[in-house]
Amino acid sequence: MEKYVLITGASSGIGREISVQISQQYNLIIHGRDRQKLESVKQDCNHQSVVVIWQNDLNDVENIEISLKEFIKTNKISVSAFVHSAGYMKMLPLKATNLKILNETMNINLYSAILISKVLANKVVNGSDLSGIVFISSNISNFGSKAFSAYAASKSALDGFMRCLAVELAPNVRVNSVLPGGVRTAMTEAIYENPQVIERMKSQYPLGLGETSDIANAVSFLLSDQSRWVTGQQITVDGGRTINITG
Amino acid sequence: MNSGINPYSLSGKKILVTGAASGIGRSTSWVLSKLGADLLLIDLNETGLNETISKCITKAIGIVVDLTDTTTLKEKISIAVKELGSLNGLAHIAGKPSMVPLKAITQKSCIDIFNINTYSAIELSKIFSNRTIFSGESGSIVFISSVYGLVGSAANIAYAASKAALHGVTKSLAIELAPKKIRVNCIAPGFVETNMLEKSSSLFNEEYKNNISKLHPLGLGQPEDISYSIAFLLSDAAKWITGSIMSVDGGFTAQ
Repeated sequence: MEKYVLITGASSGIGREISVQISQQYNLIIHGRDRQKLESVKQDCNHQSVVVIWQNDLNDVENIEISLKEFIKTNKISVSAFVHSAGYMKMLPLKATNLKILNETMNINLYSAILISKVLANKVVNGSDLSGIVFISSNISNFGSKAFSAYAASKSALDGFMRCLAVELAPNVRVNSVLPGGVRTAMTEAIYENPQVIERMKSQYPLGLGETSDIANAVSFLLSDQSRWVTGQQITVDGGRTINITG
Repeated sequence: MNSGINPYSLSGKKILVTGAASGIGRSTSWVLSKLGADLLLIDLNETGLNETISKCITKAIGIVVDLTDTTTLKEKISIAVKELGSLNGLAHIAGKPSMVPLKAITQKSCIDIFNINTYSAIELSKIFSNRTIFSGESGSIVFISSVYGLVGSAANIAYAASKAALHGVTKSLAIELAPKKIRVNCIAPGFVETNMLEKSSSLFNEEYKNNISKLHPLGLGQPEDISYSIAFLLSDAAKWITGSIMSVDGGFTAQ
């Protein structure tokens, strides 16, 4: 139980589920903005594991590197794996999109993933322990949908970064993305407000709607040695949504 | 996992594996057995098949059959299923390489490769999804294609076509079999150190092997690397994954 995994966006949704699930195998650094929520996640984690809280707002991109470096130094921790589960999604048509929303989307979904990876790959800061990175992307990374332009652009960019980082950091660090379909969480709650939309979504997913544990299982596989020859890949976990043209 | 259940376990599941006498098929049989699955193992090579079976720690029944012989395949599987119990999973690993340049290719050689690499996958899926064979629970089919189904390489026309065709089969079947609660996925491996690679690369020297290795940021793979991903896709941990092509290739296609 000596390895530490850093999970961003751990206070709710998919990040929370990943944290609770993998606390069975690893020590954790759980990241989020809300300390109270993170304390509650910590309570749900395996009590045999060490769980440390990194409270930070990823939208404040200027401070990510400094904050993480200080955190690692203060806690005398080295990080073995990084799961970027923090995400920001605003459904907006192009005409309503503005620079502030674009910046926030890119800051949280993309730039913070890059800057955190940079700090963790730095041997002076983090030693040579880093072995795995998993980004929570989205199945929209490879497909089009109305009102998702900023979000999709950030996720496609994240996967572009993922492939390059996989090549750049091989063979010491494996880097992959998990591309979930629609999973009901606090971030996506707006989509599920309308019962008609839920019915429509059910009909579009050949295997029905998914759960946060379906995503956490794939992340857990990618963090394990059983996937030691998997790098630079997009692993789609979406109940068949993106191959379904009949829906 | 929180409830104490291990979603990666295959305990109680019954799985059909083709190509079980060697390479990825053999290592997969052993990995699935270690994870608790009872197995129905198919290969043409009886000696190799028996060696595989002798090291399985769960129940394993072998069938020696040619997968392209569609007249006897279903009957032989049906008889074995009566003994083993109805199936939850199918891992179709049997395959044949073919390195022939365009000017030397013939219709017959293309059709032969298609029959073993592609049509057998369709025939096996048809048999597997039958109500007398499939148990109705935790259904999962995993095909094995190749990086050559995704990228280009000279003198590989028939093989590449047969493997790319499997990707079409995967997506189409994923939709068709979703109502039956059968998931269908495909793994596209990079170069794994098996006899199949040695046979096809024996024409070449050590330099060729080094060059192939350099195509993979993580180096050449071992059969187990593919087996673990097959096990993941067969397990309930992957219960929301269908129609996906998963590359297990040491970073080959990331470049």
